[in-house]
Amino acid sequence: MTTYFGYAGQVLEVDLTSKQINISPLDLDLARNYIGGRGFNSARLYELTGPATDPRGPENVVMFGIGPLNGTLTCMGSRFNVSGKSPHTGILGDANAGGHFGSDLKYAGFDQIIITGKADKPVYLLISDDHVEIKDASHLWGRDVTETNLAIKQELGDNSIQIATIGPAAENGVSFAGVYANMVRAAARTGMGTVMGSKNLKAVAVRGTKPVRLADPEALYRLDKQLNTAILEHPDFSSRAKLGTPRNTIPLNLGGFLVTKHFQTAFFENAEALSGELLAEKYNMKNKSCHSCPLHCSRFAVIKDGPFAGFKAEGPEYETIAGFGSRCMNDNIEVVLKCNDMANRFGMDTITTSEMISWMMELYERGDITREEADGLDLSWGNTDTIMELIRKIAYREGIGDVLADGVRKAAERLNRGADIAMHVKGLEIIQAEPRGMKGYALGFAVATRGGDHLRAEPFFELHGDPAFGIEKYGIGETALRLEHKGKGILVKDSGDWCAVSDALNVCKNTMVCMEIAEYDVVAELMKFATGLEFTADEVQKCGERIWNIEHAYNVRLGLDRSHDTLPARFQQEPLPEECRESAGSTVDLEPMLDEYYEQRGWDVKTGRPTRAKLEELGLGNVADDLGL
Amino acid sequence: MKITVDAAKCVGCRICELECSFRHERVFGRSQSRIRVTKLEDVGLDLPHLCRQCNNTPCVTACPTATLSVNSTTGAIVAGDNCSGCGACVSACPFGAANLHPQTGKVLICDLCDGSPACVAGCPTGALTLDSGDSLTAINLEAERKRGQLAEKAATRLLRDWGLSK
Repeated sequence: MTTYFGYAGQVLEVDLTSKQINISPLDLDLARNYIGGRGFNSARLYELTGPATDPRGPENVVMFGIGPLNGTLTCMGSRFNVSGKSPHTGILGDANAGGHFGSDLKYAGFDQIIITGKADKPVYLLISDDHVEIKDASHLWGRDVTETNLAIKQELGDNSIQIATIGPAAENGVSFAGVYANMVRAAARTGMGTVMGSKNLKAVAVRGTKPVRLADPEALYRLDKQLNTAILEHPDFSSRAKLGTPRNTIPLNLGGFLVTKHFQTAFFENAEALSGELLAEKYNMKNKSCHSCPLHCSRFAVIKDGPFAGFKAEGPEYETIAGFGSRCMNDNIEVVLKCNDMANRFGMDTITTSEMISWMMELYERGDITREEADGLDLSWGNTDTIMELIRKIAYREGIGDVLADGVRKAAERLNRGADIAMHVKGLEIIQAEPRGMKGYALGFAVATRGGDHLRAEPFFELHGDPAFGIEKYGIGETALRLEHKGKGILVKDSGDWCAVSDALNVCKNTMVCMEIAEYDVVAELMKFATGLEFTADEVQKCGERIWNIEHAYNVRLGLDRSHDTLPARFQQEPLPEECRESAGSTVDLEPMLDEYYEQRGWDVKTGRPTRAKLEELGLGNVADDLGL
Repeated sequence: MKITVDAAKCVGCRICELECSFRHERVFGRSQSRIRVTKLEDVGLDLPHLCRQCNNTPCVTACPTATLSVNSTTGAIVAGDNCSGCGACVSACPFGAANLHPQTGKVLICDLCDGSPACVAGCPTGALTLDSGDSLTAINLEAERKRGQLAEKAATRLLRDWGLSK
C-alpha cells in the first residue's frame, strides 16, 4: 500500500451508462511524467479518445484533473482542469478555472475524475470522501448556474459543498458551453460543458474531509510562506490586488493593441469607461480570492442605481470587459457587467460569445447580413440591446442564435459568408488581445494545442518592453519587445513549457507566469517537499515538453499539420491603423516565427509534425508508432 | 484575548483554515481546522467562524467528560485528552465553532494557539486581528495618560514660578 504525499492517491472513474463507479490508485509513473492536472488529463485523453470519438457521444470523456499542490498553502495551487475531445473544435479540448473546487476534490481523496458514457436522464455526481453517488438532477435541468449551485447546497444542507455545474447553454447543445465552479469560476473554453450536457450530467458536487499529507511539511510550509511573501512584495501586487485583470484595459489601449471593432482597429476612444479603475471607483465592493491565494485579485461588483440597480455578482475579468465592450464598440460598463452575468448564468464562454456578436456586427456593417436574417435585430456597432439579446438567443438556440451557437467557423459555413473575417484558429475564437500588437501571442494563438488560445503560451515576457530583459534571458533583445518577430519562436516554446507545467500543477498564471514568482528549480522543490518525488529542474521542464508533445500528437493523429497553425488573413495582411499608437502599421509575419518555433520544439519544420527523435526522448515512442513516424 | 473578525475585509481565501490545520497537525485541510469560513457566493459574503470565548462557556458546561476547560490567562477553551467524541459541545455551541475531527473523532475548538494565533498571522487582508482585550489595564492606562497631561501643565507653572522657561 503506497502512502501518498501531496497527491490524494486515487482516481475516480464513473461510467454514466452502466452506473459503474471505480476507484483506483494513482499511478505514480503518471505523476513522474505529467505531474498532474492538465498533464494527467492530456495523457489519458490521448489513450481514451481519438479520431473515432464523437465529441457529443457517450464514448467521449469529461475529466477533472488537479495537481499535487491543490488544497495546500501553496498560494497558486488552487485551480482545476477539465478535458475531453472538443465538440466545438473537434480537436483536443480543455478548460481551466480557479476558485475552490480543486481543493475539495483533493480533500475528498481524488487526483482525477474520469467520466464516460451517458446517463438516461439528468443526473449529478455527488462525491463525499469515498462515497460516490449518481443522483437525480431532473429538477435541476433547465436552471441556470447560480440557481443550480444554490439549489444543490440547499437540498444537501451544506453551504460549503463545492459544485462544478453547467447551465442551460450546455443543455441546449451550444458548442461553447462551459463548466462553472463557485458560480463564476469559468472553465469555459472548448465546450467542456457541452460534453457534460451531452452526457446528461448537470453537475459534480464534492466535499471532502481528508487532510493533505506532505513529505516534508516544515520545508513546504517555509517555501509556501516565501512564495506568499514574494507575491505580497511584488511591484505589481497593488494594482493586481485592487483591480484584477481589468487593469489591462488602459495599458493595452495606450499601446494600441486593445481589441476594438472586431479587430478593425486596436484603439478604443473611451477606454476609461471600460477600465479596472472605473470598476474600482464605482462598482467594486470588496475583493474575492481563489483558494489559498494572497493576491485576492477577484472582485465583487454591485450596481446601486440606473437600469441595473440591485445587480450584484463576482467579476468581471478583462476578457469579458473587452469582449462585450471594445470588441463590439460598446462603452457602457454596466451592460458589460450584465452581459458577464448572463453568460455565466447560461454557462457560455464569453470570449467565443463576444466573437459571435462582433462578427455579426462586422457582417452587418459591410452589408453581408440583413436585419431580417437576424430576427430583426439592429446589428449596428455598440447596440447594447442587441448584444444582450444575442447572448440570450445563442444560449437558447433561438432564431439566429441557432446559427451562432456552434461557433464562428460553423456559422460562416452555414451562412456561406464571413469566413474571411471569422477570427478563430482551429475553430477556437481569438481573445481580446490584438495579434498585430503582440507577435509572441500571435504565434501562440497559431500553435496552441486547443486552438486560438493565449493561455497555452502566455508569452507575457514580450510585454517587458525593454531589450535588456531579452538579452539576459535568451540572448535576444527582441524577445522582450512585443512588436518584434525575432526570437518569438524561442520564447513561445519556452513559455509554453512553463505554462504546461503551471497547468499540471494547477497554479495560477497571474502569479506563476506574469509575476514570475517561481522557476523550474522552485517547482522541483515544491514537488519534493509536497510529494517526496525527486525532480531536477530539467525534468520538470521535460514534463512541460511532454505535455505539449502528447497534445500535439493527439491533434496530428486527427489530421492536423502546419497548415492548421495559422492566423486569420487580417492579422497577416492588414496593417493596424494610424490611431494604434506604437502598434500602428503592424502586421504579423507568421511563417518565420513558425519555422523558429518548430526548430525549438524539435518538430519537422515543413509539416509541423513531431519527430520520432523528440518523442522517444520524452519516452513517447509508442506515440511515434501511432503516428507512423 | 479574542480574535476579531471583519467580514468586509475577508476575501474568502481560507488561508486561515490551512494555517490552523498546519499549526496543530502539520497537514493541510479544512476539516482539520478550528476556524471555518462560510462563503455565500451570490452575495459575495465571506465570513470566518471561530470560538468567541463566551463568558458562560456552554461547551464546557455541556461536556460530560470534563475534557473542556478555560485557560485563565488567555480565556481560550482548552481540550484535554479524554474526549469521547460525543458531540455535546458541537450541539451546545451557538456559533458552530466546535467541530469533531473527521479522523480522530475528537473535539476541535480554537485554543488561540497559546497566544499567537496562526490564522491571524497568515491572514493577507487583516480580516482577522488579535485583540489582547485586557480591558481593565486599558481603562487604567487611560487614567494614567490623563494624569500625565495634568502633570505636564503643572510642570510649566512650577518652572515659571522658579524664574525658568520650559
